[in-house]
Amino acid sequence: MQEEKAYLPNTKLKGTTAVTGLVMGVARVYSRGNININSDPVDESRLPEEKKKFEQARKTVGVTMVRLSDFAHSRNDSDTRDILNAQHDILNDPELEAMVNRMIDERNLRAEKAIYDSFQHYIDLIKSNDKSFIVSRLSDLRDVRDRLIQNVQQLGMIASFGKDAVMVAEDVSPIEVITFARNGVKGIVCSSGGLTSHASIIANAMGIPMIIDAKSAMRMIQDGDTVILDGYGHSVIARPDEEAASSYTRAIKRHKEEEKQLRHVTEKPSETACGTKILLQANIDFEDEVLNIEKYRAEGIGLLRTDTLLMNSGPLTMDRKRQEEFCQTAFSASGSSPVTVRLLDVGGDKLLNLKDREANPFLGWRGVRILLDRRELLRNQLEAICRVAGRYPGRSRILVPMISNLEEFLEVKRELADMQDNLQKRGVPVDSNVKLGIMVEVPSVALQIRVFAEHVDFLSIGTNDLTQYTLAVDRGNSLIASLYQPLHPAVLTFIAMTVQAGTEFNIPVAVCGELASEPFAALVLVGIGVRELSMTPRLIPKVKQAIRLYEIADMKKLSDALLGCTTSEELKKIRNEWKAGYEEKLREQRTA
Amino acid sequence: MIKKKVKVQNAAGIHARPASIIVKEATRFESEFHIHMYGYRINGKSILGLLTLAAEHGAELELEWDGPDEEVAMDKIVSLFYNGFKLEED
Repeated sequence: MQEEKAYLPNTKLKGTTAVTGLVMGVARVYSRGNININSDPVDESRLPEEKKKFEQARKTVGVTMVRLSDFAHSRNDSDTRDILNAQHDILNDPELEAMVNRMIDERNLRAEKAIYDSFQHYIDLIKSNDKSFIVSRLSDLRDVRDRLIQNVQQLGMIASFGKDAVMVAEDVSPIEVITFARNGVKGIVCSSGGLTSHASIIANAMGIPMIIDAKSAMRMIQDGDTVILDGYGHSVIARPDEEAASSYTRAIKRHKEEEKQLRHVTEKPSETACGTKILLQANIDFEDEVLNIEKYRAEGIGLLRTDTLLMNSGPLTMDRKRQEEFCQTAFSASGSSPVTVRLLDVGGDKLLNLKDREANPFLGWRGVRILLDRRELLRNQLEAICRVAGRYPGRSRILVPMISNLEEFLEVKRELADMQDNLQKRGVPVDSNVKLGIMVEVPSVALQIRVFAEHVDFLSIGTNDLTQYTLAVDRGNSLIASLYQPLHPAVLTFIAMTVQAGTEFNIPVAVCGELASEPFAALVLVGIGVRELSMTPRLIPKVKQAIRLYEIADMKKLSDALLGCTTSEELKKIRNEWKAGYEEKLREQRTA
Repeated sequence: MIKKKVKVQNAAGIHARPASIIVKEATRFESEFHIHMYGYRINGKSILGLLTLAAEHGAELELEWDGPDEEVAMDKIVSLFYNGFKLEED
């Protein structure tokens, strides 16, 4: 009713923190709007930039198309696949590429206009033939054109935002988050979204504070507004008044002090107050991140995600050389510590944008299910990993995602043995001691964990998926975001069963979900008996800080209490009590 | 440089799918590839070029390969025309 109120000063919006942090910046409302071509020529000096934009857009659009075509293939949808394949050829057409670049150079055009005109040239030629069998396919051509232009415009828009930008959007895709990160965006606010969508995992890896589920954000925030994104308070303040701005400044100062304390902890060994060693490892998605391994003293990599390689190289066949380079970088950045490489875990929400296509993507074609259907992809990955493992003997673990039955594991194990044999015969040095383990994320696997423990070399619990499968809560659905409770006793029971099986069969059990990176949850996990935690390296010092302040017995008390909870209110109460005590401990430490 | 004349055998002519098949095969080779038709000359590795030809059933095209692997490349593309653009399974 009172829509004018929407733009009052100091408007506070509640949301959920996906990536914590505190920043103030200029709101940039971001939407994937309609196509509107700017035909004005640009200054000579900007031409190389326009050509780069075209090149980047071509890559991004290409990856999306190949992925969609791959998916169509998996569904035996050969018509769609043919169209997408032809569109992909159009995108890579050498004459088209040359024409766009020539137009940019010769007519000082923006990339968007050069793309539009180049396509128009071909459209006119095809039309002039007046042959219906070709003319009827012009829509495919226009579709490629529009995707390219849209992408170019996004790039241009983001680049023009400057260093203070806080993006405000309905939701964002993983590719957009990367584009934001490369352009120095300070923060992201989404009006929808779930905590563990791949977009927020990437934002976390890149260290961009992000608030999701801020429902009224698109209505209440205007482009150009000053905003404070407060990840600690799960809120966004639009158009802050003087008081809010100065309390922001105070908070920044306090966080700087806390960071100093954390830097001190970073150098200390990772052990509990009673001296039990806890292995804190890094989750790594990108090459850019490996420097953080040393910086935050991660002891190796607990989860090297290879999924992002698809983003850069195109997925029909993953480039083996690229994978090898990535693994090589990861191993050489990890000193003498172990590195766990997870096989491709695409499907679901991961990068594929398939939500509209598979009715139940999380129960669908993903992880090992894709790999076993696409043996070349699997063998390619195994070859890349084995080649690098041979150069760093004794350090490699291979992790198989989305296992839901034992046969899947045994099949991958056989492929691994074949690959090792094969490489050895070709004279390539291999490490005969490469460990092969599974992700524990499907409830049936957790229930029958002893069946698996007998065969695998290690177990790694993926808390994100285990939680959503156990509780039947889609982690990306904001309507039920409050039901997504990774510390639910049912989930913890599965984790406890897994730990017990690990002890019985004498194999390591790690947790590599986002849960491990939250100090309270990390203590609970250690209380249950987990001794290996893997997380975004930036968050290791915070977890180490907590672990060093408690004895195993204290943590066991916490986890026992949580296992006995019957309502989420009880859980909340235990967490709050702990938090108050913990903050007190930290204050004591600071003043000491 | 070698040249060879071929006829479009398949009923539907060179629409998007055959064009895509020709481009995929042609780009495997290093040599330069051009197609002549009705006085037009297009880059045979360009799908847009192929589509602008709008070559129908029975249309006559001249293939022109120039480079180190021109012989193999010519054989490959000619056989595509003869079997009506069915991709061999590899």
